[in-house]
Amino acid sequence: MGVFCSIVGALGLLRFPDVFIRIHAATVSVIGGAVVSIFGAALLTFPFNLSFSIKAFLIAGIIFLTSPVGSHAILRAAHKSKTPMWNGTVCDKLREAEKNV
Amino acid sequence: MTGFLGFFLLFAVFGMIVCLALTTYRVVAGPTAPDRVVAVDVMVNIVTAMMVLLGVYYQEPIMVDTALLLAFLSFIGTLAISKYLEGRGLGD
Repeated sequence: MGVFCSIVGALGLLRFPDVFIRIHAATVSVIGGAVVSIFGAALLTFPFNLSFSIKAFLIAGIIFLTSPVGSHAILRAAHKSKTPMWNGTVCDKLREAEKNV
Repeated sequence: MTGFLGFFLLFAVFGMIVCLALTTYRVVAGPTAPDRVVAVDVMVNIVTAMMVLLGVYYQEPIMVDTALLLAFLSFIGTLAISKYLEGRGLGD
């Protein structure tokens, strides 16, 4: 399951046209791939190696909390530094809001 | 860890190696800097998952400590690079 999500995310990262769409595939790859795999490993080692299991749960929680923050920051920076968008983009609410102010 | 479960763990690790190859292409060929940052972020997270799975396979608790450190460092690195792209100093 984790590997399937990971491969789908990597393919999306390869195929999508610009940064603002590629980050969706990146999220699939990170949450569906890495977090699910680490969670599975933590459940697998829970009966006989408790410290390993607790550390693995901790890693899954850290990735789950910090990955959205990181992607939000990087996209805000990309929008602010005027990264070129795909031609099919139809809706850019942040640019409209900046224009009105 | 041997037998059926070990086979599944190795299969997962090989799948993640394929993913690493695909994201490496995006790191090398990405047209803009945010592309490369996103791809490196994904690569680091996949490597973290791979280290935890290999730690289960080889019964090595030290690998999971390293993975914990790597998760923190990847987050700090992404925030630093995004501040740099935004055109501000690190102290702002």
